[in-house]
Amino acid sequence: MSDDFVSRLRLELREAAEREARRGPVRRAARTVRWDVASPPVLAATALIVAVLVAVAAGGALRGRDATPPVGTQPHVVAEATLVGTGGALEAGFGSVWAADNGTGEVLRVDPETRRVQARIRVGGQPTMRAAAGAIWATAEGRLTKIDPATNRVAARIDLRLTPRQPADAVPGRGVLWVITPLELLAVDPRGDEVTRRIPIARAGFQAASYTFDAGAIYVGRPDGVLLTFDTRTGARTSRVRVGLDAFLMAAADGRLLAATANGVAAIDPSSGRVVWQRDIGAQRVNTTTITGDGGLWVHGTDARTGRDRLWRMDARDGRVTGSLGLREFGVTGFAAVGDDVWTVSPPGRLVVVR
Amino acid sequence: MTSIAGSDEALLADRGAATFEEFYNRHVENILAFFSRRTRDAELAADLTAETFAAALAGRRRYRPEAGAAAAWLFGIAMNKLADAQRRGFAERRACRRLGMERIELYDDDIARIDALGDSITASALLEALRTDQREAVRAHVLDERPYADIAAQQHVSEAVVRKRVSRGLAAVRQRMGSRE
Repeated sequence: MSDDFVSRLRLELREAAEREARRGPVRRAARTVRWDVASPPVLAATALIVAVLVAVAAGGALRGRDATPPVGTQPHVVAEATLVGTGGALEAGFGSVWAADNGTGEVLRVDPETRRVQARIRVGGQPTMRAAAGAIWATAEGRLTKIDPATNRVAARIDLRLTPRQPADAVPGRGVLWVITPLELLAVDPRGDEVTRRIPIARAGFQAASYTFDAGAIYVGRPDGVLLTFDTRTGARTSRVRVGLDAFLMAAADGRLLAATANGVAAIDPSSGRVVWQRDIGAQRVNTTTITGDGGLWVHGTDARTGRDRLWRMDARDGRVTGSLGLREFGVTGFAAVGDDVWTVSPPGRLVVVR
Repeated sequence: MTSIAGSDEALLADRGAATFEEFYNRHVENILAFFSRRTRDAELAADLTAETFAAALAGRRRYRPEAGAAAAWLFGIAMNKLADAQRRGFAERRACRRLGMERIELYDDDIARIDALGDSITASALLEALRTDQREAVRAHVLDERPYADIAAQQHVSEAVVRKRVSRGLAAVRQRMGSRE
């Protein structure tokens, strides 16, 4: 049973475990905050921080990061249910929530109040979804499927000429629908239902690693630290800046880009690439974000302290954490703001609604 | 290879290299099969498996048995890695890099075996094939080791209903396993 790969991985892990054991607790602590313990100043800083932590702990004042005083009501679960057999993407639009079932390849139209399924539309694959240009656009297996919300039926299927496994997602534009892939930006005529243009965005082997958008622009992050901005009407590239941070673009709000970092979230000025604020929220990893109708930035991630998934509510203006909630479910496939609530769907298809 | 007795939870708590290896031996095929089945891509499945175990090795001191069974914790990491790979379009190697682990290149034989593993029916695949209510009850009681009363309260049903779902779910799993023999 795949002995070769399994044996080689076993050996890699054994050596890694032995290296870990040799490192000792202080160096492990330093590594977890991603510092390169190589230079005397960093060693001194590490020692200082360890000393401060010990002193604070001795004073009995060491509290978890989620013990930050909350602002207003703490996030709480308002509903839980099994939404789909296998979790998939979520999108809010046309007065409904659209949930993908990655097991059956269906898109379910769900009433946001009763959470009852109103319609099932077969699109195939494991679609991402976007409400734009009067339709729900589902992208899967190299194909864009247009769902008419007036009839709950498939209105068009557009071959994007992509390989079936190539990731792709629809992005709303002005008078045009865009589909973004790691290699290119495709312009789709939402009335003629055809691809009209393809704009390359990868360069020298650096593909798009993340993206986000607002009404006027699509922002693309590449692993070489380059942030590209494209106009959502013409597709013209309007800026190219470098970001001095290893970050994964997640959302755009109030002219800033919100990006996941190794342990939290950062806000970036898209015109200069400057980091406006950066917040360590105590996450081992950040999975996804969304912004609710009341302006709250919600972050889904894994809590480094407990290893469990957690939702953090933040103020997008300054990155202040205003509340958090531990989740029973592991993992997230769908995450969407529905009014002032946040809907999250886990890989087994469990829906948790948080307010 | 040395066999070490003990529960998964005890293996993680021990924090020795040998005990983690035993934990790896117990779960590697299930994790590899899970990724193979979900991605239908042997190389991606191998990368995700390596990253999942690297993350488990790096994070095992944060595992708390009261939060759930170790296997569920490991599958939680796996699900996160899978969701992340689906979002990015590739498997990240953050945990592997952090631990200084080399990427393992696959030979043709490896690819064939991993593909075959994805096609075979494993326990988790059997579980996935259950009705939703039975799957959730079996997962909560058997994998997460939660008491019937706790599950009943969460699902807003009686304890008897939960017991029935677990019983019928396990019977269905047994029947499917039997039908393959």
